[in-house]
Amino acid sequence: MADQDIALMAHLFRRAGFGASRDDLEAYAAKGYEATVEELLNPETQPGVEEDLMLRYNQSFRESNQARDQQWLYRMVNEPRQLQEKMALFWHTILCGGNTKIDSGYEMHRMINMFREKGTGSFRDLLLDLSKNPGMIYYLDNSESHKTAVNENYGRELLELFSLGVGMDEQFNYSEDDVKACALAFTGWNIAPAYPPFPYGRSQWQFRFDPADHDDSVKTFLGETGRWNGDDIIDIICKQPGAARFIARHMYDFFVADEPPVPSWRQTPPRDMEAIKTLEKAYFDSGYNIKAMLRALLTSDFFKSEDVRFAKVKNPAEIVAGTLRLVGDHREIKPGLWEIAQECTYMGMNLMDPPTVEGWHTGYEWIDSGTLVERVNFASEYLGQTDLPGVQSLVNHLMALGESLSPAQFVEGSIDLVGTLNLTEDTRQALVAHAQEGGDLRHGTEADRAEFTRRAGEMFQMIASTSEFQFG
Amino acid sequence: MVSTQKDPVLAVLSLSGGNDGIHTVIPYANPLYRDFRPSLSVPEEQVLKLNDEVGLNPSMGPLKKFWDEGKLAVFLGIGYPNPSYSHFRSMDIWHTCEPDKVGTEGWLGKVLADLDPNKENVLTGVNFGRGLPRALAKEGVPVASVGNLETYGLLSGIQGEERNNALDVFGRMYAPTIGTGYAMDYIRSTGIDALKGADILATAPHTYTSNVEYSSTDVGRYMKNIAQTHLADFGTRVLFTTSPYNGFDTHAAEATAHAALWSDVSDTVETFFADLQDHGKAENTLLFMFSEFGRRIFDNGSGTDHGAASVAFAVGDKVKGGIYGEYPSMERSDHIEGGNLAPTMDFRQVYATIVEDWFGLDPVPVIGGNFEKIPFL
Amino acid sequence: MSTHFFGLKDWNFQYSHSLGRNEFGGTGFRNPVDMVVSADDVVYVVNRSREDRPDGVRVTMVTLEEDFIGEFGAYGEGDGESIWPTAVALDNEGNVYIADEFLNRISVYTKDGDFIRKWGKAGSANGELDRPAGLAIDGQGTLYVTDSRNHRVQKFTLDGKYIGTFGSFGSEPGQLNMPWGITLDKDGLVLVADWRNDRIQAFTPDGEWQASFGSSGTGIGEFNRPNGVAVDKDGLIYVLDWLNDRVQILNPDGRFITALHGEHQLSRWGKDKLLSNPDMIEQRALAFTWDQGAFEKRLSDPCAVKVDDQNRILVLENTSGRIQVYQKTDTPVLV
Repeated sequence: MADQDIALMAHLFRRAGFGASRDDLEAYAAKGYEATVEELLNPETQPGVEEDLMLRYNQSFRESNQARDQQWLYRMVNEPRQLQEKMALFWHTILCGGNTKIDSGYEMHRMINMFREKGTGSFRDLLLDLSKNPGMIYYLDNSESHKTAVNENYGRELLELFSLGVGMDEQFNYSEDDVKACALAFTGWNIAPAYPPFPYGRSQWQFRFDPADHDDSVKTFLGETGRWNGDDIIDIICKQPGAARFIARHMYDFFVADEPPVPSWRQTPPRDMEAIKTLEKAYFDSGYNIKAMLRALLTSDFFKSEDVRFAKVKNPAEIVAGTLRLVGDHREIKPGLWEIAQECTYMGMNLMDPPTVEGWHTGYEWIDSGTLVERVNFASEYLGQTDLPGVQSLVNHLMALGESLSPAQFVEGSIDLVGTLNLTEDTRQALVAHAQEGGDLRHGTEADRAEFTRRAGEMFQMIASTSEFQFG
Repeated sequence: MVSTQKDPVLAVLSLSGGNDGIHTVIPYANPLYRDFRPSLSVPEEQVLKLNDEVGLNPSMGPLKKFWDEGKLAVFLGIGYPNPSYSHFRSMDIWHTCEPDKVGTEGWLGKVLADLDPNKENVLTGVNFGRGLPRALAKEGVPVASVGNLETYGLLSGIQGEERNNALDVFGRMYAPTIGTGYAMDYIRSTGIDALKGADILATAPHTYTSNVEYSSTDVGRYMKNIAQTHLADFGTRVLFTTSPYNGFDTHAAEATAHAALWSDVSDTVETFFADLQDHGKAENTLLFMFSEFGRRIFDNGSGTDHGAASVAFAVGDKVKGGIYGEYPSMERSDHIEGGNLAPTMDFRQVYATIVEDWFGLDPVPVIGGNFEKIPFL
Repeated sequence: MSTHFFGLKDWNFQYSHSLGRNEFGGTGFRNPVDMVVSADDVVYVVNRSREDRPDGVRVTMVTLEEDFIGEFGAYGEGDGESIWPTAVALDNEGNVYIADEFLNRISVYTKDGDFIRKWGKAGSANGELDRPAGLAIDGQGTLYVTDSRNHRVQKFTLDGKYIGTFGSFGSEPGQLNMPWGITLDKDGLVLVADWRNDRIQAFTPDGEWQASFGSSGTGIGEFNRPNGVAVDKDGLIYVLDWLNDRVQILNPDGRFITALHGEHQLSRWGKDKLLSNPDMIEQRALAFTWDQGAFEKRLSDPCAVKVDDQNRILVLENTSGRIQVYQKTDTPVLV
């Protein structure tokens, strides 16, 4: 297997999934890049995660607020439909709703499920579902927006954070009057009265359109005048060049390379305008279809380019889920995953509970001295557990390189297997110097095997603790 | 940063879950108390009386001693307008002082930024427990979050001499490098900061000696860690910890659960101050204890559900002991939504007092407004 | 209420009352998974809780009239503790047997909850367990365990000596796929909820296959991951049709009679909870105007069904932490 095929496949799975084990990467590389992309883009062609088993062992998953990140992490690690799961995370980081306010496990799951199911379809359908999603209606106060007393929160965020962004190419994408018209159009989009949490648990919330509470007046929105309702607003939004730019740039940021934060997009041009144009074209050519944009992205030269590999700081979910996938732990349902899911929070990403509607600050802003300690300790602790099947497999691959390995060969082999191919020369040298203290490695005898395994585990730990490992 | 050793130090113990204020500072003389708490009231003779109207829960004996010595301030009716009954949201409000919108910066994060504006000391603020409470969050303010002081630091999964070896390699791998871009530079310098902070903190348990024995609960362990860190003279000014997550959320079987919780907290507070006293470090230490909300006025047959106004406490040599504020009325007509006590004191009044009178800082930007101080310092 | 013609009798399944509410301790249940009723009307409810609240793992003892008696057990691996409790059964003397599908063991307690002993070994050899999921005890002191990931039923003495096993992985008659609940009828016939095969299977005590009923689906007589089965003294079979959120009642040869979907009315503990939370009374009242109480009546994630010798049918609900009790009565039919 050509190493560059494996390297490209690893890149694809770090971005379009939550990483993959060495064995899986080899199998996908044998299958070929285009075929693998198509498999990722068409989740219905593979069986999904075994939901009946998830529920059997964790019946609380159906409603529990606190188990929400636990079950999402389980899916990230075990969902065969990796891109679908990654898209759920993608949309969650943009179309933000948070449990601090929503306070309902049901509604958070429903929101994430919506991203799972609609996340690669039409952007128009997604925005329409989002606007009818009871959790979102409550999160952004549309439930408090009435014909006679308009609350502009949802109307504003729909434009600013969910679909257009403040501006592009140094122009504004909408005016304050557009915000007002948008908010008016969504009056009456509300939730039916729901049962309280006590004594038997909340009921699921239901969307309810209340015509009596809807402002039916003629409005002018983004230059178009009519008796607009919310769905008309979404139609008008989706036609805007700003919508194409907004999604293209977010996709580039999430899948290709870190972009500056969203508020600066009006003044700061994209890192790669050619790439953005390609994605914008796919958006309009396909009638706002997200899958078409993803296909354009994942098969493009700008995605496959060596220049963008390891150009992103991994988010905490990628660190945690990616590490579990690499080492092969929690691939079956067993106790202990809740505690691991908290690691994402310790690293600054409380899943389903972003700090505000603006989402998390990404890129290098994931990292401070506290979160770096958590990232390093989590990944290195798992990579050092040589009894885990994924780590065992890495050790076996390493042994297969030869009967005797020099420290330099040992380090090179380990770097390749862990997949941290971006190590700088000084880091390599530090690792080689460390390996040299122990001399050459053999695995002919039982005792040699044990020592080889111990040193391999230690080397994997060191690699997982590098600054380079923070990039994916 | 120059530490005078007598710089004022704040320790905060957050009582997670919503402590039942009515069952903590008991309005024993009010007949309505017994009417509304048929399954949960404490007989008058068992209440640790503070005055003719209120007294402490019988499980709080050690705290009563601080009261008798004039070192315990009791804040009654504490809360904020339009209470939230969600643990997450209400705790956020206490942490950020933002009851109306979602805030991202914590009041203590702002205090730390003011105390150490040039970030000379990576240990000005330390949290004990995993994950940073929002109270301490502020962009650019480094705060260590210590899950276990004995093993705190990088590569904590590696044992013994191996770990020192590994940390050496780590130091070399995080040395500044040229031409790899801002993000890599930033991460490497952050790694070196983390290494330094951990190196310093790791010495705390080794230099610590003590004549007292803390309880083996999480509260005992973390309050001991706070004492160890404070006694190690790192220049740490704010030390924060949280009791086990939602432990005070006594929806059912409250009588036994609440007694166990407060007996642990009270014993630990006594041990903590005895420890500091032994080392001559009690004088400049203020301990503040609060919870995100109180609980319903009516019991639910075996416990109580999420409520509004509660109680909070400050303990220390410099504290002017006494009762501050008024017990909220228990009359039915005065209940606010949900059968709750209406707050009579805003928690930001207490914060403002701490910020100005303890730390000597301007409270307005920290608390986000002008709040009348409470004269307990 | 539903009335159904069956042979020479009309069976009548009348909702009686409910017990429970959601609590991590004391007067309520939290993510309960199984229950059993003793001869003196004590219900033992096994609370699995969830990982972030290990304090909720316990067995609650409550009378059928909703008087709280006490609780026992805790989260952990020590004597009397459980990690993933999953099933409960009583022996002739009223001792309580709890299966733990993570620790792969059975713990035994007195009827008051004092720990007596534990046994069980993980594995797939005869007498070893891999996620025991259901328990039943016959009058002679034989304990039947559904050994879910070994896809079989194993028989033990009450102190854990291996007696025998039957079943193997597959979907042919007599084969099993992750079996869960198990019960015995008055003649000793063994009924197993063959979970992933979406059917109930009947065996003789020696494991000889007798019958299978049901197939995958949402229709009458179809199941979606049935996880529990009970049988009354008239031989009627109650199937907890797990992902269809209902209990199906079948006659002894497997024909559909009726289904229970829930008719809950406020339990006493539930009422206590509401009375101390006036704002929730208001919210609940508003919700009632919208759905006429449909949500609260409905079985919400039912997870176990039991029937006692007085023909009382108990349905345990995981999400709402409560039990709905029905009474079966029969009346002679004029032909």
